[in-house]
Amino acid sequence: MRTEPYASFDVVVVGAGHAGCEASLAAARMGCKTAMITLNLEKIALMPCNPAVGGVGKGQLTREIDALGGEQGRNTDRAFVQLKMLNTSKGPAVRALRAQADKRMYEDAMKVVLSRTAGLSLVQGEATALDVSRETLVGVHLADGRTLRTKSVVLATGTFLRAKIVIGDRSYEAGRVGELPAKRLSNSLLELGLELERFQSATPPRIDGATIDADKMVPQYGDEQLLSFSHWAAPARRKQLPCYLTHTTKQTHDVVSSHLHLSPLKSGSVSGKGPRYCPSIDRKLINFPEREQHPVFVEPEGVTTREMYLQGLTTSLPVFVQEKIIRATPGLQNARLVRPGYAVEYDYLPPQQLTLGLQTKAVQGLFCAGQLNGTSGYEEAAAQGLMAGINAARYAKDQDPFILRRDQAYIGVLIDDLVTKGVDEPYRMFTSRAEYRLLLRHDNAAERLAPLGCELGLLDGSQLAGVEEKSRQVRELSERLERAQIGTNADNDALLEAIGTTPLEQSQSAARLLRRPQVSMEDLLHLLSNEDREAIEASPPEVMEQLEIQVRYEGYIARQLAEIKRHRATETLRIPDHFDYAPIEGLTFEARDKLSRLKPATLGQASRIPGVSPADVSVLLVHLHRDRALEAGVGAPGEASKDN
Amino acid sequence: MNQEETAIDRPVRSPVGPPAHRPLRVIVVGGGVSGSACAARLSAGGAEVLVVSSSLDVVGLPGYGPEVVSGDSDWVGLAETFGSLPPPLRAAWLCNATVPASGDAILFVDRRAVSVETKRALESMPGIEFRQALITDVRLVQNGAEPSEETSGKTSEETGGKTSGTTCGTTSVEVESAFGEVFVGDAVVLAPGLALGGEVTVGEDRVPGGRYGEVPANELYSALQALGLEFEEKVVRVDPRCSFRDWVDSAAGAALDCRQTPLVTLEELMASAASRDRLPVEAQNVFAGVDSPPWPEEFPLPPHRAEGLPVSVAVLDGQTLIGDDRGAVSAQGANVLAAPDGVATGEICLDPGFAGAMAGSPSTRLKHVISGRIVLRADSEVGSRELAAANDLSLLRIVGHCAGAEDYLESLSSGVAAAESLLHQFGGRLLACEESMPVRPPGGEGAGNED
Repeated sequence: MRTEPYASFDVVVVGAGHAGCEASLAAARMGCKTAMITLNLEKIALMPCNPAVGGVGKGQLTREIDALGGEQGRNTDRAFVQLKMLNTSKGPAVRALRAQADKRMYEDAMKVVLSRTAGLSLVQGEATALDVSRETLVGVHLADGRTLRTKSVVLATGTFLRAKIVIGDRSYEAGRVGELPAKRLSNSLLELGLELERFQSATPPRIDGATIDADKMVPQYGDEQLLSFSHWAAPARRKQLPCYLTHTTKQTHDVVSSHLHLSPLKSGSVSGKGPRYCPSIDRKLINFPEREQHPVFVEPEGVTTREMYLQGLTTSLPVFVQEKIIRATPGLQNARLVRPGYAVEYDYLPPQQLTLGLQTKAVQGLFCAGQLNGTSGYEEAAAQGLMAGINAARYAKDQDPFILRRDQAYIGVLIDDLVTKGVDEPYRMFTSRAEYRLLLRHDNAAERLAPLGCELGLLDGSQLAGVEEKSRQVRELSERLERAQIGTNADNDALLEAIGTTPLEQSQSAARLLRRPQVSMEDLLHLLSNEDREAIEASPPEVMEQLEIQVRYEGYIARQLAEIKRHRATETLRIPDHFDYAPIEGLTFEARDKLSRLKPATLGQASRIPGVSPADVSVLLVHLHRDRALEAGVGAPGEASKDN
Repeated sequence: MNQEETAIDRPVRSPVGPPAHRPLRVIVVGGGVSGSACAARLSAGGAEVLVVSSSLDVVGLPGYGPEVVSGDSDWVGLAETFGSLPPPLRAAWLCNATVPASGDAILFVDRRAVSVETKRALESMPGIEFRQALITDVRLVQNGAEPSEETSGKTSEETGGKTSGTTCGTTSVEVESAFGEVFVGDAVVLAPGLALGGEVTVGEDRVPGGRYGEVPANELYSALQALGLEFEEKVVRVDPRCSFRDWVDSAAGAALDCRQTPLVTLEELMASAASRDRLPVEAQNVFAGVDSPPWPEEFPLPPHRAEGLPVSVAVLDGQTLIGDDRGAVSAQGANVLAAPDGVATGEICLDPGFAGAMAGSPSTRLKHVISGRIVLRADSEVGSRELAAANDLSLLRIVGHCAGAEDYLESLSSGVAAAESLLHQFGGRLLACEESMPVRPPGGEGAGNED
């Protein structure tokens, strides 16, 4: 068959899941001629596991994606059936949005966006090989005989590479249940010198929502307050669906224990490593034998279906055991299984083979994103997809990679963790992974990232202007609170005592008073002058929220900023591309080996490589400074530090 | 065994007592066009139905093009088929269909919308349950030799929860999945499309599957052969698609010289007395009473409801092609050249002759050929096979593509026909009351194992 004479592309994205969609949209919106290849155009942006977006750590990623002009937040807003802010009683660093979405509507909404994005072509087919010439990517071969010429490729193949799905001791080849895997692309990657390893992931059973006993469970409602993931559209009122909380019991555990020998974990029918942080119920019983119960959230899969998801009961035990597990759990005694849980095992690409721009070190122009890089979760996938799409587009335009630092975004933490430390189990985002989490908050994602999104061409000027206006308001009001003096008088004393804090000895600024943990913004409003109170009350809720956080935690925030400043010199010190570690004395054997293989771009990155000690970093620091001084001495610009 | 455990193991057992009447239980394997129709009709007839599909995400999806046309290209054929569907399923199709304003007897459906609304419709009908599973085996089981499970004192695990689903002395049917689940019913309807020994050829590539990207049902195929069924090959061509935007941009699209046809919804068609009166009375009766089921309150409308179905027209005026980005149609009688494939997809389905004509952009989907196995001499009827009673295969029905249906209408009709024949066949029989659709572990797993 003749090769059809397609015009060449700037970016070709392989895969149409959460990573593939973001990558495709970002590249096309940045003006690149983009194609998205998928095995099945009926299953774009599918949520094959939990129909939920966000949560602690993950929700911050989605906000950041949105702040950079990505689609996940907006699309979640189009399709959510429940939305709530988590951890409102805890510190601002761990506050996060979480949504339940209608799975089908999420797909449809994304499909509408994709099909109407200028410069983006959707192509159904199987990518089987990459065409690489002189270590540089030039095209993608499809199984049907077509070749798409392209300057860059983003691989976002999810769980499809040489995949099989497993329940008990049975399995069949599938990327997701019922879908053919991609069996051929792996070979092409191996031939290019890339390494692949095996991971596994699993999904819990789904049940018929008409067969649950809601009275035996605790309903979990969405927030009354109007919320949205996206910064760019006002939230609208929507009827929300409840989730239900129940717990496993001794009976549930007895069923699992008495059938553990049938678990793929034990029988060895799954060889890949699974996610520690999203463990199956089998794994939970093995790891926490003393726990008498585990929570199970029964979550709607949408308004278009009665199916419900059993968060907490992930298992790939045989189906008859799954039914017993479900029925031994309060509220689910009569629940009818609709989709058995299953495990999927697939190839992933150990991400130390990537640069901070998510480009493979082995092949110029080849970028990787999502579960392929050893992560789990739609948010982690979408964040990488966005960054890989941006960087593939920038590569195609001959521009430097766009890299977010660890102190700028969770996205920066995610990618730095992946490419520096690698993964030994599917990686999931937590707030604890970020050093500067008081700075990387849900509420300030746009302030942090919208200017960058605008520079990249993913946001327009009016969007940025809106963000700047919000910052201005927050700044103005926080100055107002610094200026406002709260006096000592009987009324104020009484109010302060009523909320459990000591009365003022002398008048002090409202800002300072707000730093007392007992004093809420609402309390403060009672103490302020009418003028100040009205100024604050007139501001939108997102301004109020940020104002309170900024003022209350000012000391902590300032400390983190100072720490970042102190570290930045070391953190951003560039290590030349072809830096030779062999002649450097004082490095341990392990450090030398790992540094030579992983080729960190900066000293900061080098310091986070497992096996590289602070002593190794000091040795490197001395060497890098000396090299720099030498270059400066001969008056030549640092050839080595020109790019990474 | 104490009471507690019994409650877990056998949660849905009815109280001990004389068997009451219970509904006919049918397992429908395949949730596509014919399987959905069959399930809906069985539900309407009072039966219990388990719809088993290898992927519940595409239940009810019309898997080929967007055109729905009767063999005779007339309204009577369309009216007969849709008139035979229970109202919820009828609405899932007709509320997501447009017709040429000229009154030609052809429907264009939003395939994705039909799929979403079909799943909703079936979930709303009594007695229909879903299960996601890839079926690998079908067996006929004689009941009667064994004592009933209830009196034998075996635990549910030993029998895997499988108990005789039918009265002693009769035959029931078991189907087994790739993961060892066993479902038992009074009868089985197979609606596997072209997945039996299916292969998809796209360009130079040939992959297994009854539809592109899906796993085939090859083990089920072998099992059916072992039952003595004979098959022949059937080949179906699936038209290529491209994005509407590319179509508009394409010089090839603009160079066509063909008649444009505006599309209207059925509701619009019926609202105009002039166009309504052009339809035969049978069609008027069927199309008049179709109401779109309410969308969940306060939830944003999906694309196919929010925007309405594609209504724009490709105007071919010399070299200019005008339209909006919701799709276009240009038709010559029933000879459709380019038909909108749905609101969300933004694709249009092209005659194969136009494959590759979109210079500069790849087709979203290449034309491809699916070959699968269908029951021998299936074309002698309208896509529904009642199998020989002598072989006890009277408990099996094969419908849809696999039984020779040539298009969506025949698939729908075959599903309805199979449901009606089963309802008739079992109509007079007393079915003893038992637990609901049982499931049991893999055959070897607990059999004879006393612990």
